[in-house]
Amino acid sequence: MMDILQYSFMRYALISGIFVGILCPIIGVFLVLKNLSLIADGMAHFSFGGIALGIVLGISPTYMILLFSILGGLLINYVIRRTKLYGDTVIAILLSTGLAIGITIISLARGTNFNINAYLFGSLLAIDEKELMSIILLGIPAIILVIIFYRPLLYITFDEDSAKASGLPVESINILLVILSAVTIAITIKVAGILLTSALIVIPVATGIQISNSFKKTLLSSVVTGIISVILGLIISYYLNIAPGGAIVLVSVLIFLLSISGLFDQKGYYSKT
Amino acid sequence: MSDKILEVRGLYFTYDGENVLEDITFSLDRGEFLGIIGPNGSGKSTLLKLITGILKPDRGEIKLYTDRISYIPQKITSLSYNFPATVEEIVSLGILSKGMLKRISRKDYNLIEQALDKVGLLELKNKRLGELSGGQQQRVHIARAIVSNPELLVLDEPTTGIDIVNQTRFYELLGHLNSEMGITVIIVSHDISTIAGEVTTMAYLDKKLHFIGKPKDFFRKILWPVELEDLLSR
Ligand SMILES: Nc1ncnc2c1ncn2[C@@H]1O[C@H](COP(=O)(O)OP(=O)(O)O)[C@@H](O)[C@H]1O
Ligand SMILES: [Mg+2]
Repeated sequence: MMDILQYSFMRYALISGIFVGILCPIIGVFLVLKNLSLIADGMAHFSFGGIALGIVLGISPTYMILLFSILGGLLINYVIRRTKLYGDTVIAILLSTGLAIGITIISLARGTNFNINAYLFGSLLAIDEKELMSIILLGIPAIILVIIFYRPLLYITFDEDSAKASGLPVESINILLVILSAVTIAITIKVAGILLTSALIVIPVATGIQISNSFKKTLLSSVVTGIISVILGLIISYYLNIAPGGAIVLVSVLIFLLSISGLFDQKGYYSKT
Repeated sequence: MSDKILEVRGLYFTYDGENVLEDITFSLDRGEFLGIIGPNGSGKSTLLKLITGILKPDRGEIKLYTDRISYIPQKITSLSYNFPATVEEIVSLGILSKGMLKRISRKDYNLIEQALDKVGLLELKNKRLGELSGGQQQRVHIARAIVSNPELLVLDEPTTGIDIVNQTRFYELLGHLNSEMGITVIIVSHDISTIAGEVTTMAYLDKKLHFIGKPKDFFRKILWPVELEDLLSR
């Protein structure tokens, strides 16, 4: 196995992947428990518009993804609160808007040398030193912020009104969560692409929830699942010569299927209420 | 002079251009136990959200003479029966009202255990919330609410769906928190007979505050005419 690490692109891929394996679940757990599993999907697809715009304007897509997912996340957050619509309706509208903007721009800018596939399906193996640096520079602060704000995030996830009555700045914490989600998405799109980003945010968390009795264990087991999926997926993709994004997500799905089969159940818990 | 904890003056609140609360004026002294009743949709939950600062009044003012408030909503937004957290993890959230980034110290752990002991759930502290019965879950919320030593405890129909024996126990617990620990309690309930025995003040809300005063006066002045009206309209 060690021989695959002799290539620098594999080392970069592995480090980036491990960041994603950690970041996705620690943000995803709050999104999933807030019943916002789809928001990451909405934000990722919305950022497609940003990618297209960035390419045409000559701005680095990573920053455009960041900008557009923050914008998309805040918009979803705002519209859900100010209208009578359900969250998934709002997300569906925004998701399609971003895609439509992207497709329109690309069709207008015919002839630009634009590798759409890299963004749709991920380009883990193409990550260079510069991109790895930007992943580290975005990822480490995000992880630290989650550690610092762990309990406030849990409180607003459990019940916003109770948290607000106890004096927590609920709106600000929600905005922090949107920004952290955007950072996670911007990094994850490199690994899994727009199409599979939300899979990495949701599936390891689903496994964690399924096999854990406490929030701490949920968080921990989701992260372990996330990291295992990335490493195993990467190794498999290398030897079978298949797309790493797909392999990673398939491994995470496999672990999830094992978790609902009852194999990892802790003593005393496997009862649906 | 009495020591007020809450003053509400000329309070109005509208949803979609329709008044839900009109001209609410009352005050509450420290140490009181206020029971609010009223028909469905009469604005009870809205009033509690205004008092706790979750909603802002359209008109009028609310003065709270404490910042140590705990609130137990009518419905917990997360589907709490499946929420992957232990009883202890939920109760420890209550500590955050002392400061959102406060670390949980050894002393706080003692407070958490004391709160759990007070509501009789110490042995269940490592259970997942969803493994508890409705009545036990409600006591978890009480423990979360009292762990930060609040001066005002606000509860919205906390005993819905709980059997009568556990309801009685629940009100005894609230009575204890009120009389022994001096916590001012505001509770919304649809169950007049159960709360009438525990509260020191009773309010009848139906968009307007039709009555606030001693429970015995409530029964004399309000319940009779209401029932009479009910009979006559049949
Ligand atoms: N979020 C909301 N948006 C619009 N109308 C609402 C909302 N919440 C409550 N209402 C309306 O306000 C009125 C009072 O509601 P509420 O305070 O929940 O009453 P109660 O708790 O006494 O049953 C009801 O007519 C209800 O339909
Ligand atoms: Mg209500």
